[in-house]
Amino acid sequence: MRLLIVGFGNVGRSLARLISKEEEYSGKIRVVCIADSKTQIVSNSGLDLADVIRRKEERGTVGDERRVELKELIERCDPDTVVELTNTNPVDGEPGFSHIRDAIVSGRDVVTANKGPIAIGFHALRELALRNRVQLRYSGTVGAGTPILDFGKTCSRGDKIMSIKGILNSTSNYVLSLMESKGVNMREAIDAARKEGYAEADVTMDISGRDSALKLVIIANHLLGTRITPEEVKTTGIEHIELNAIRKALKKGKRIRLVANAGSDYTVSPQELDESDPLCVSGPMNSFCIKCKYSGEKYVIGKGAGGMETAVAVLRDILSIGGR
Amino acid sequence: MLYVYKFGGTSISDASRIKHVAKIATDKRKKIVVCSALDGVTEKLIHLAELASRGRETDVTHLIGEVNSLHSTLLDGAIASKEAREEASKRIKEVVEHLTVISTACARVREVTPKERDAILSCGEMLSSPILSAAITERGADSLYMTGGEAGIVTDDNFGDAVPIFEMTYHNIKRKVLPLVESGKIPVVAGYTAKTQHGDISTLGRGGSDYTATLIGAAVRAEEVILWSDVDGLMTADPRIVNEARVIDEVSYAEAREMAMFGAKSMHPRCLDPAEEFGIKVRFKNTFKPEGSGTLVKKSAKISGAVRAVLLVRDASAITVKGTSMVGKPGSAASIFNQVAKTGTNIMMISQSVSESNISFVVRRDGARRAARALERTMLSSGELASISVEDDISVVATIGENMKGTPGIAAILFRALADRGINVKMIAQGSSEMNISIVVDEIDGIEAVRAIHKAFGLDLL
Repeated sequence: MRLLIVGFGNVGRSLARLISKEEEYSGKIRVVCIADSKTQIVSNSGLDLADVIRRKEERGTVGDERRVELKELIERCDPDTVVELTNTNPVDGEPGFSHIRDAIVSGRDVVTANKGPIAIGFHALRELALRNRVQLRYSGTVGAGTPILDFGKTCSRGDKIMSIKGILNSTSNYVLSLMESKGVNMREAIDAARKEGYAEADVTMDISGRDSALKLVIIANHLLGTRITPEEVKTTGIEHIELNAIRKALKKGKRIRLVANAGSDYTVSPQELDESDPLCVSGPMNSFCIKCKYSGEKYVIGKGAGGMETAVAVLRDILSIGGR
Repeated sequence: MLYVYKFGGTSISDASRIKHVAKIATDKRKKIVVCSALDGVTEKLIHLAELASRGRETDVTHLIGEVNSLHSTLLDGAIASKEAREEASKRIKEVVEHLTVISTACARVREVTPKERDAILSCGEMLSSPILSAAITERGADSLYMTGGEAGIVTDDNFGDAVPIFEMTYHNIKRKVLPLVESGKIPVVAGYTAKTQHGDISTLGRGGSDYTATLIGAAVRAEEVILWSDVDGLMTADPRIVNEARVIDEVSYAEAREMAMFGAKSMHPRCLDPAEEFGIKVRFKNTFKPEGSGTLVKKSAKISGAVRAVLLVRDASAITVKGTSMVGKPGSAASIFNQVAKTGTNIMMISQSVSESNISFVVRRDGARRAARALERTMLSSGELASISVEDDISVVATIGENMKGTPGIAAILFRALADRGINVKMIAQGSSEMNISIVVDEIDGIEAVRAIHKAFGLDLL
């Protein structure tokens, strides 16, 4: 397979490491182009990934040549799959949306871990892929390495999914868990999360619940066949959760978690969960409960963040396209 | 609440009409306007493409001049203020230049590809819409003109009858057009026109402006899409045939579609689909009688009576094929229709008896000879068919109504009415949806048959 990777941040570099480390993949997969926001590097015979990672980490860019349009890059290096890993833009999904659209229109399969364009243009991009007879896969947008979308799809065959509930943002979950176990306030918990690598410099998306809302839109549209948009999710973040409230809940045997819910309506809000509830996970974890009409509730729990975890989901999508 | 108003070609065909339409378009509602080409201009452009394909460059130049002066004169007559005229005038000049470049290039190589043909045909709407936009601006509203492609309508590469890429179209319109309306502007979109995902100009097929309107209506979840034309609405029969014909208040999407297929109003066959999918109401209204309520197409429409309309298709031909080798042989119908399909002829109606020794079908008259010849060349010469006959002097009478389904006795009333007037029925078809009974009669009996059925079901009394 010939891959074009656009976006070379944490997930992109983890993917490159994963491919170069395991011989099983490096024999099969050739990365012919890597583009970041400012530059690109192209090699028709396949890039030396370790070398590109080193350049990116030392100099901040992958190449020397100024970035050209994705369409032109596709023409230049003729990839069969475009891997879109630029940062999530919750407002209009750009530049990811245009990247994915242009790749599909150019007849390439697309794999992405970018939530913005998929949440905002879910049906538009899926229909475009269908009409152009290419694959569009996005399992890395939700649950990092935990394959919630595929699992849910399997659950829905022969049964009907009634509702989906889950903890979809691991940064906020880590922060809440830390406040709970260490008795620290939110600011301190966020600082600690940053130190541990479980939070980015800007945590607004995580704490405000918007990241969870984007993921909820993708899950609902993918599994329930709905047509909701991020604006339609009633979203409340955890920014106003006081240590006191957490302590009070603990005394009752409950924990406050940021829960996303899709069923009769679509919400993201802090809720008190029973300690014994399988959904109630602690640390940088995600949990999902899929409630089916005939076969009842099913739970999936897994690590919900991390460059390498997300890279695994991306690679899984790449391999499933390749094995088609 | 948001509305989509689409104006047909006759509604804007002279300066006073443009002013009248601009007045309608500047009522208090928030809206998006869709504009057709001026009456007769699309036909001129079709002729232009034809002239170009035959290499007649002088005639091409002459016809472009005619189209140009038609629009320039209209602009000067309809718009008084210089400022309002300027923008439209610039747009018209651009389109005329573009039209000249393409058509002369085509004329030189004596070939018009489907892609170039779309580029030529789309000019009609691109010339008329800026004029309407200017007229709306002149009335003090903030209007702005855009092509279908600029509004976000994306299609596949099937030039001439392109299929929209629906979800992407909705996504684009929501992002490009909706914010304009919400900020108080009145966008005027050139109907019929679109662009492919690679950025080339494409068109939505005959009647495509209606399709533009319903696509936009679906994208912005409009309260209502109003299709303004020169008829009062959908009628129980053609008023030129039946004096007592009247406007139907409400019809279901399925009924409207049936009526459109049978020419109650020339409408794009798929134009109601986006509206139906999202439950958007569509209203047919007469531009020249805006006070009338017209016909409303909606989900769970109030339907009174089983039969709603009786329509006549005149320019039809019946083809009957016979051959004992068809009997009990699976696939014979498939190969017959396959041959017809290859000639690009659409089959309107099919009838076959259980003995299977003959099949009759009805096509538009202009395609009948071609279809028959194709069958003669292939299946007659190979002996699969024994004979092929074409009857040109027939008409199809379609009796339509959603509630005919499950109502016993409809056919009895219908055939009694025809028998009483001594009209012979040559062919009958009713699908199991029971929404439509189509019969074939001799052409001279067509009008009388419509009147008889119209009366028998009391459509004149309601």
